[in-house]
Amino acid sequence: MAEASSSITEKFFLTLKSSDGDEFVLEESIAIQSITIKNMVEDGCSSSVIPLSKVDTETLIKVIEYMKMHSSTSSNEEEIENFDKKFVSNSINTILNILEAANFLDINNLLELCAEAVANRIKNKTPEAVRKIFNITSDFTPEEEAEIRNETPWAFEGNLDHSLD
Amino acid sequence: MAFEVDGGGDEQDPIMVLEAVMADMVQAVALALVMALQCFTWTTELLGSLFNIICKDEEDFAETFGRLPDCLIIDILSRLPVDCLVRFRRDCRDLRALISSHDFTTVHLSRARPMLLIHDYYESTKNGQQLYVFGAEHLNGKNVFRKLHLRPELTINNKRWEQPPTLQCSCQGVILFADPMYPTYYALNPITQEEVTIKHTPDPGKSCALYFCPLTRQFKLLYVQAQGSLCQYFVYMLKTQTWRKIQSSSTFNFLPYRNSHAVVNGALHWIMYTDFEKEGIPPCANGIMVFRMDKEELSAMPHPGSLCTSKKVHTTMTLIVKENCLSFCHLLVSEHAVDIWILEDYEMRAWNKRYKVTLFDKKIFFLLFCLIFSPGRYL
Repeated sequence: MAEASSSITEKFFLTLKSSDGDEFVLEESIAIQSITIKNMVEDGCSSSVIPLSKVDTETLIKVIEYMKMHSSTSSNEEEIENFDKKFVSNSINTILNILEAANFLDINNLLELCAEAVANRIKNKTPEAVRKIFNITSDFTPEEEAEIRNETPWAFEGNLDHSLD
Repeated sequence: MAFEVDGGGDEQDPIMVLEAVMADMVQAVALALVMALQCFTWTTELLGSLFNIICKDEEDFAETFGRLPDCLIIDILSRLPVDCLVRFRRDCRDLRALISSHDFTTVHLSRARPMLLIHDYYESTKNGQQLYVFGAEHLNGKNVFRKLHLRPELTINNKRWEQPPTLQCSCQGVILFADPMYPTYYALNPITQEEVTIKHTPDPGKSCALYFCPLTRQFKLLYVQAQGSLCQYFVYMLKTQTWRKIQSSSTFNFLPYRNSHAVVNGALHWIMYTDFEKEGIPPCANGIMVFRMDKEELSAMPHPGSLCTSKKVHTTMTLIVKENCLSFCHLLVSEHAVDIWILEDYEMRAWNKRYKVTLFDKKIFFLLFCLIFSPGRYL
């Protein structure tokens, strides 16, 4: 592999800063998969550190991992597919964090991947489990809940999953 | 199965066309063979990228539902099958309101794929209505075959029927049944298990279409009465449960073939079968019947291709929607092929014969027959 200094095309680097204050240096060509970052680069706001106040370090590491895999020219389709499969096997909480970051950074592929993964994970869950995963507070009285349940009893049949992951 | 593509551009997907045609062919074959099962495509309308409009708004970073921005919750929920959504309605008031809203239904429908709805009429005469859906579900896109749950208390499920109501058509998940003895219709939403009984107008007639009017946001039924050589069309509004007579400027004495229609350009389209003024002559010059939803106006336009030798040829034609354009499919029985035309310019009526799909061999008809007749064996 040729040394970076001997490369003809000049590489630009960006510094991303997580909400925890950790800094990550990333090639610009990789980072601009994020439309948010791309816009900042085009507007000339990227000369110094780019602060990502909504993304914590753990999530940012995952997002950078994803962007590297999806931009590198050496990885083939099969590799990417396997990477994605492994990627969505993270805990549901991690995926939700990544999803939120993907939304903020505007990385469409990553958003699609995570939203689909979350949908897959929650489809067989009980309403109670979903409530906890999304941190939703119920404003129904137990009577009202029972009433809704009785409207469509068939929707509550079968083996539902109570776990939160 | 082999297929040829005639002059298609790069963006065309013959497989998709084939699937759509196959779905319609299943219908055609089922009807032609007068089988015990009735089969219709579970049509869904692709309503474009409404989702993007909803979610690209800054305000949608608001968090009504807990830890995630609303637009992400909507995105995730729109990928779920309906039975999950029905279950999650219990989570909170906002979520219930969202899932029941028209905008959400539109987003959800835009992700849906067409499914076959199969009615086992023979079994229905003994044990209440037996309905099955077959097709690619939300998520994974895996093919499923499952029975639809129908409350035993529904009128259509009443065991006292000598001949239970028959399946007529479906529109955005709402299913229409007809009483075979009296012209009474039953519209059913299998998700909510709601049922609406539609009593006929004073004189009996037949339904042409169940459709969703996007302007008034309600389901309507187009109904026709034929008396002698005169046709009178009516619209029934399911919300207000009232009938309205359609006022047409000129006489419109045509009847469509079957009640499967294609919705394009704010209008419903059918293949025409009967011209009461020139009975016996195939109505090729008025081969396609058009009903504009906003003005509730009926008109006709010629179908593409050459003039037909007999009226019966019109029974091998059908209309579908492809790439948001009206598409005309003509099953050429003797050639075991389907011609597919696309109406590329609606105003100029510019048709283009885009594909000719050759069905592998004669056995394809037999295969389709088997697939419908004993689904359990093949899935």
